[in-house]
Amino acid sequence: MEFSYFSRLSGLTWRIHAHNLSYPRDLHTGEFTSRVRNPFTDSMIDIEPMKLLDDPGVLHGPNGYLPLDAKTVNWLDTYHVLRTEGPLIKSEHIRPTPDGWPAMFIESSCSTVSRKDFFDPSVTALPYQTSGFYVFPFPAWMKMGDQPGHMIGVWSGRRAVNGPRDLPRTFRERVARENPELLEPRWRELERPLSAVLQQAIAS
Amino acid sequence: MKRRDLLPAIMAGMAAGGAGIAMPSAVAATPRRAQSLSQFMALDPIENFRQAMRLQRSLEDADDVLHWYHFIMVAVPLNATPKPVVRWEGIEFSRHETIGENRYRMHGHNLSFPRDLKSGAFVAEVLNPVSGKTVAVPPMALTQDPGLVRSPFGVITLDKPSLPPRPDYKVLRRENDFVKVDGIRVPPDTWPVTFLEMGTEAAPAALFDDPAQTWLPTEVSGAYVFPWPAWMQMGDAPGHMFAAWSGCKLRSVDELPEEFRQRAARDFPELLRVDRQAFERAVPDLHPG
Repeated sequence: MEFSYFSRLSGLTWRIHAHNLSYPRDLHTGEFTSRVRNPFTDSMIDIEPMKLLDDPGVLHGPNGYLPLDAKTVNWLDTYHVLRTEGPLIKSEHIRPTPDGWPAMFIESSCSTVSRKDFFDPSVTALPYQTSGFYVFPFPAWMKMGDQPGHMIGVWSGRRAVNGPRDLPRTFRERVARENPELLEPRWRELERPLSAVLQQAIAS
Repeated sequence: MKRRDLLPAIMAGMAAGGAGIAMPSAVAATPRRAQSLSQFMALDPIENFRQAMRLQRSLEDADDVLHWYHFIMVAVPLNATPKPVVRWEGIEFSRHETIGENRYRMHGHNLSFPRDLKSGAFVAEVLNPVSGKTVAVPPMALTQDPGLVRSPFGVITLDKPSLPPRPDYKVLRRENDFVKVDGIRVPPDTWPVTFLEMGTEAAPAALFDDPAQTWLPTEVSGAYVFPWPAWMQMGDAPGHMFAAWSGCKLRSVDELPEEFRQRAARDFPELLRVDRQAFERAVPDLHPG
C-alpha cells in the first residue's frame, strides 16, 4: 500500500507526505514469502517486507513538484494527461525524478474513474482503479553486485477510499500485527518546519 | 454485453468495497464497512487455463478477439534517467481455433499509430530525448508473429513447432468486484533477448461468475520491455525501451474509436480483420504437448 496524507498550504499548493509498505508473495501460489529465487544467479535469497518511510515529502502545485529536501526552488515538471475513454476518464501521470535519486528511476501510472463520478462535484476523492510501473536499480536483496541492469515493477490496484478498513483482511491483519503505526497517517511529518527555500517557494 | 453499459457502475463500486455492479455511482463517496476482498483463485491447471482463456480471449471454439489500447514508450538508457518518448494508440487483433481438447491455435497482428505525448495528436516524428535528435516514427504494423499453440501445458510458438510447450504465467485473483488475471507472456525463441511482456486483464466478477458468459468485457493494462526500435536511431548505445499500456477488449472493430478506425481503414484496411489464411498453413512436426 501507499498511504499518503496532505494539507493545503495556499491556493493550489499542497504539502504531501506518504509511506509505502509491501509484503513479498510467491509468484505462483500468492502466499506470503520470505525467500525467493534470483532467476539470474539461481540462488535462493532472503527477502523482507519493503517499508519506504524516508520519503522527504513534496510540495505539489500547478508548477509541478518540489521535494521538501530541495536546496533551490526548482519545481519539477510532471507529465499529466487526462483522456476520455467511452464511459471512463483516465489520468496518465509520469512522476519526475528528484535530484539525488538513482539515475535509472521512473514511475508512471494510469488511474481510471467513471465519467459520472468525475463530473460529480460532490465526489471530492474519486474512487479509481490504477495500474502503473516503475524502473529502479537492483535492490540490495537481489545481490546483483555490479551487474549492469535494473528492475521493473508493474502494479494493478485501486484506491482504498475508506482508508485502512478497505484493505484486504490478510494484508491489514499482518500490518496490524507487525507495524500497526503504518495503518495511520503520519500527521507529525507535516509538523516538521519547512526550510527557508520552501517557504519562499510557497510565498512566490 | 457492451463495456460502456457496465463499467461506470463497476468503477464506482469497486473502491467502495464489494458493491454489486448495479451500485449507484454516488454511493462511491459514502463510507462503508464492507470487507475488501483480495483472493488468489486456487484452480486446477485445466480450469486455470480455461478461465484465463475466457478472460483474455473467449471460450468459443473459434473467435476473433480485439484489444484496443493507448501506450507510452519510455527510453531506458543505461545509467541515465529513463525518459518518455511517444504515445501510441493501437490494437491487437487475433483469432483462435480449437485443435483439440483445451488446445488452441492462434494467429494475430498489431497495428499502432504514434501520437504526440502531450497533445495526443497523430505525429510522424518525435524528439528522441536521449540523443536530442528529431526522428521519424512510422506506424507500427506487426504482422510477422509466427502464431502459437496454447494449452494448459503452456505455449508452443509456431516458428519452432516441434519444441515442447513452455509454461506460461497466469494467476487469477478476485479483487472486490473484479476478477483479474495477471499474465507474463512467453515470447518466441527467435525474438530479441531483451523482451518481456506482462499484463493484467480485469472483468466484472458478476459476469465472470455467470458461466453462460463465454466472452467477458475486460480492462487491460500492462507493460513490455524491448530493444531500441530502428526509428530511435540509437545505434549500439546500451539500453532498451519500455512501454506501458491501458485499454480494453472490444467486441468488434465497430467499437473502435472513430479517429483510429478511420485511419486504419484508410492506411491498413487489411488489418481491420484477422488473416484466416494463416490457419490453413500446415504445421509439420507440431509437438503433441
